[in-house]
Amino acid sequence: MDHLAVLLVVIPLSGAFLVPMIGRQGARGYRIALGTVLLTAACATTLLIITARGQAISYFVGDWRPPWGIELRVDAFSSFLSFFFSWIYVAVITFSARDVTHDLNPAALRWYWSLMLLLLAGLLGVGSAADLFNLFVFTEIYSLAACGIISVRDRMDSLEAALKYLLLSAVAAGCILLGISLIYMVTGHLNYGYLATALPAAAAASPRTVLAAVALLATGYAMKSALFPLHIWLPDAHSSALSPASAVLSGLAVKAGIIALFRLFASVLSASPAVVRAMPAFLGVLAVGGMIFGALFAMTQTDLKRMLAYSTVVQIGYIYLAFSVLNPVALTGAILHIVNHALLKGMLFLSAGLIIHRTGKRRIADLQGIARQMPLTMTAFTIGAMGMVGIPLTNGFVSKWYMVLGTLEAGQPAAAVVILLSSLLSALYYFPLVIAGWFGSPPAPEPAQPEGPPSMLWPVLGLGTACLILGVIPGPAIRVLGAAARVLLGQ
Amino acid sequence: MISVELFLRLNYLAGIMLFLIGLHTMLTHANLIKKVMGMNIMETGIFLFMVSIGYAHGTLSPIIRRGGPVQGLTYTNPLLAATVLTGIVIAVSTTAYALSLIVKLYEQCGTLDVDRLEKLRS
Repeated sequence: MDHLAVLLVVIPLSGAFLVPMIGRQGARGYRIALGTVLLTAACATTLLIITARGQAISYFVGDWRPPWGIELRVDAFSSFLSFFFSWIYVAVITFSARDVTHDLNPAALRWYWSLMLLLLAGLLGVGSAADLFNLFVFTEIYSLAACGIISVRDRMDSLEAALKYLLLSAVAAGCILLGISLIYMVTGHLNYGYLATALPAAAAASPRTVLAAVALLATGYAMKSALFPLHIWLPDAHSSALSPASAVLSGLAVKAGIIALFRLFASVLSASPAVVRAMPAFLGVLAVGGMIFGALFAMTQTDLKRMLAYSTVVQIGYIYLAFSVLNPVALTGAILHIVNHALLKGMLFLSAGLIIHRTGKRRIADLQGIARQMPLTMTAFTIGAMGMVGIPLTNGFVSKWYMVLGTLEAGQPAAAVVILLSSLLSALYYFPLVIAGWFGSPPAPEPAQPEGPPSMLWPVLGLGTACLILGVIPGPAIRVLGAAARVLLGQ
Repeated sequence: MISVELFLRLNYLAGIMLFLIGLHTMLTHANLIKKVMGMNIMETGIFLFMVSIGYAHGTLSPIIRRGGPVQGLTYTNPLLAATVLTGIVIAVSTTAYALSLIVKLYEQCGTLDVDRLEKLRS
């Protein structure tokens, strides 16, 4: 059973190498990719069942024990995220089969599948790495794969967006690596467990070095996760990628930086003095900026996918703000919001992709009365919009509820007010679109056509159902995450 | 003997200086090739810093012959050398990928200037 922890990363990694080798012709690449993500999802499901009660699995690669060996550690926090990430991936890969073949030439297609699997391997690896250097390696794997997925669409705007993302991502990687080496310099450890015990003494001996290391790590991961004002790469990158790629980039890839920071700040670095604990509060201030300015930018967008991309900047702000109070209830809300936003934004980007695939329209102004042609897609889009705003019965409501409760419990009513205010702002850019889609009059009557191929419609509807289920029955998820948040905070 | 201390630790200082020079080049130059050069300088600075952490004055290279480590001798920390090796691999692949993107962009747009690319786009 312990091997599942390493298989979670090895399965998508081997899939990524198999596709270019034997998946050259026709639909074989797709079949290998789908099989790989299904296997990964099954693996993640088993891990969630094992770890849901608070038990953690440690795997030592090659049976070399820490502090020398590489440890992979799967606990309730990482298996919960892996579970949702891999099942969202199943939906996205299914959706891609028709959408991507349309946009890419056959030669580029197999690289698309390969890079998607590589991205998944990197994301799951970030969740299960138990030492700083492997965290860095997995971060680089997913970042390079993410840039590759954008540039696989061989067009000028995609190439430019990918290059901008790559260069900023390299700056972030440099900051992270320097931060890691400073931490190693003062503690002599990379493994999380050993680090947590060695850090208090090291921080007392050289507080400035530790502070510099923490600041570098925070900057690097904030840039990777597009925290305001380091989000400048995100709108271009996420709007110029293929729609299913945007769904995973916006829904999953930006979360990896947050997962890493949660792990580092909540459990590994929390043993150190007040200067280090002040860093989350600083990130919280930036998060407020993201929530306000991201919403203002989203309102002024004319392109549907760009609007969705700016909305991601806002939602990242929520997660950071809830994290910054370091309260178990707020952290439960924040982790749940990682998953909820992944489901919602994945669904929104896929339904936007379906609209673009079917009608070729991507300007918000052209979407008047789109619901008459595509009622099911628009229903999913509406659920997504309601979840983003935080209307009850959608999953977005549950996570925002816990974030508000947690910030109040931590004695920070101002943060709660910002969360509520930003939800109102979200309504201002999502609802006009929904209202125009349902009640606007279409510019010209279109001949009745099927809404889209079932392989594209079902993933969207499946994600929508998952959003409603998590909104109506949040109990089990909250129980697992409540315990996971306490473990993360060391309480 | 502060000056001798400083001289022995010059490599740390040089690493940080290279990091800052690279970072500055990446963020301020509009030319894409210069940005990639800045990226490499920055990474080289980090690698110099990292191998310096593993090295102590007067230690041997960590090659253990048959019969185990020799008593009374100290070796440099091989972990950081291995780490830097991984880092170099990542840096090389990032550079190769960035350069290939730049070649494609140049073929399509005929410029290496970020500001002009931005204008072409809008």
